[in-house]
Amino acid sequence: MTGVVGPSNGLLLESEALDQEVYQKAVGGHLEVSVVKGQDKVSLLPGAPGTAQARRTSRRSSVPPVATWCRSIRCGAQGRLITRLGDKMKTSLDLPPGPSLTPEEAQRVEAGISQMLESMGRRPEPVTGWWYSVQFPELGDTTIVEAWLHGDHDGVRQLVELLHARSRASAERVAQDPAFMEFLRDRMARLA
Amino acid sequence: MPFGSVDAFRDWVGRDDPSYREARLVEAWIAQLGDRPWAEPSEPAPEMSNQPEYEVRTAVLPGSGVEVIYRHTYNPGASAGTVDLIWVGRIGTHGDH
Repeated sequence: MTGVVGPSNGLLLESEALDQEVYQKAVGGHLEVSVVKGQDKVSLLPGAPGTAQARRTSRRSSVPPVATWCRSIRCGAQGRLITRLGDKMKTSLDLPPGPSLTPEEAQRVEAGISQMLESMGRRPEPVTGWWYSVQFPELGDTTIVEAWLHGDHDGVRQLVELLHARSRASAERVAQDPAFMEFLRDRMARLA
Repeated sequence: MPFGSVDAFRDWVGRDDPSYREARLVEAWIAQLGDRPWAEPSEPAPEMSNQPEYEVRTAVLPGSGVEVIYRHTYNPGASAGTVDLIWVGRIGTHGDH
């Protein structure tokens, strides 16, 4: 079982809200714009061949994924996604902070989880991003921060151990796949 | 700590067409590697590592089922190393590379 991102979790950062607004308008076929795709102009008018609407109806999902939109438009969410990482970003970018906590609650969660991680032989880290934003079925569809505040410390610890077990299993799968190992080694060699 | 290559992230976006929210979740997790290459819940992949030159780590990201494999290269004499993304993809999609 994997966690899910809860739609009600947290306030969107202003930039993310704008990203999503532009994205939703584009994939909803409401933007009347033309963009350059390769050497060709592509209309995003609803229903036109090669448009957002045409692409949308050709897919099983009602909302086209971000890359479909991004490949044909040079603005908005995906542009920013790629630009940020492509610029060799050196600073952290965190997800929205989730439910508002009092300074005391935030401090309590931070200290408690840091202590838990250290007791597990791990380094403490800031409790941001997915700690706040992802709901886990294992925690009764709450976030780690919420579960911690509710006193379910054992549940949080077991979940963190489970998440590590998944990552370890991933490493083991890679090690048992010679073709994929070769692909990764080749990729690293090209990056060197 | 600077990132080296982030092409694997772009490749994943182009290959898997993630939702906006999922892409943001993965991006945000990756971004923190610049400060903490050991970020939770990553684990070392010893078979791919070459200590003490570099360590390869893997992580299955909470909330997405996306697997990230990356290399943290230590830079002797410098305070910071470099992080290169090697693979980003959904679990079970190794064959799609």
